Amino acid sequence: MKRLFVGLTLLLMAFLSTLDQFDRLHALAARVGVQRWMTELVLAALVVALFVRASELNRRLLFPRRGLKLLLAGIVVYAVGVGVATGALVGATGMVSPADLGALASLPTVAAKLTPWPLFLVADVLLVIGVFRALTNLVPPDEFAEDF
Amino acid sequence: MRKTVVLLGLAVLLSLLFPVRILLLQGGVDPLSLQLHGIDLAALCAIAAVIPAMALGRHGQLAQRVPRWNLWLALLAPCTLLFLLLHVGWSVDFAMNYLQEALGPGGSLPLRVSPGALVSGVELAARLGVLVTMVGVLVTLQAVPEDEPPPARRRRRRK
Repeated sequence: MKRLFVGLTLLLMAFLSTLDQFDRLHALAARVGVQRWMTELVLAALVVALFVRASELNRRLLFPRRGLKLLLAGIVVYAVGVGVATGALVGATGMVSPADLGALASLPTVAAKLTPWPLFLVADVLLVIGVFRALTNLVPPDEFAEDF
Repeated sequence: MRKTVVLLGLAVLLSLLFPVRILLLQGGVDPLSLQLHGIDLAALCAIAAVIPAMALGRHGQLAQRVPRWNLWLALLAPCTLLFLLLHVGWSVDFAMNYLQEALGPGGSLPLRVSPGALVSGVELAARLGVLVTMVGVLVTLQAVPEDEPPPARRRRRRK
């Protein structure tokens, strides 16, 4: 359920990032020091929490769960993308000496060459498929109403 | 009809989940230059997303599981249609001309809004409508999905 929550939040953030109509709001928030992604994250998390509560998603997910591996892969790729975009990944690999990395000695140079957008795109694809698989694997509303 | 609505709705939703415009800007391509016979980038993305939507719909067995009548389904159709129409040149021109007359002095709509702002607001409503109603359709699918076929096993070679 946590993976599905995170996946839904990240996808909703991607959706919100495409809305030009909120540009003025973001510009106003930026004056106070609030960045665009912060507003989108808070808004997305709130909406997803309301959706999960209203649809009783955690009680309706069928076994065996579907899409969870894809969701995990998407979240990991997204995290790597964030690490690349913020420079944290290059910083982290730079802190370790190449001798300690052993077979992964080329990791810092690879990390420096990575660009975040392809990673975000791959993460988006994985999250979309994972969320779709999870949301189409629920107890039907009629059966759920009969049982509870 | 229901299947087509769900397919188109899913395609539009998929196109809205990918920030294509930002990706193009990052790649140095002007999104406004990408138009085909008056169809803008958003509509082109929705058309391109039909194939992945078909694949997902088949994977999720949506054709067999979509209910006959559903509030979400009834709302999905106008939202999808409105979104697509607001990204086609001739229909946007028609809407703008109508709104300029209706919102002007002596017009039939007593609103103090520019036609552009109103069209932008309606487009936002259509986007949000597609998101909410498509998720509503997915969450209210009727039957439990049938089990996936087990992965094909490789035949062992005889030694």
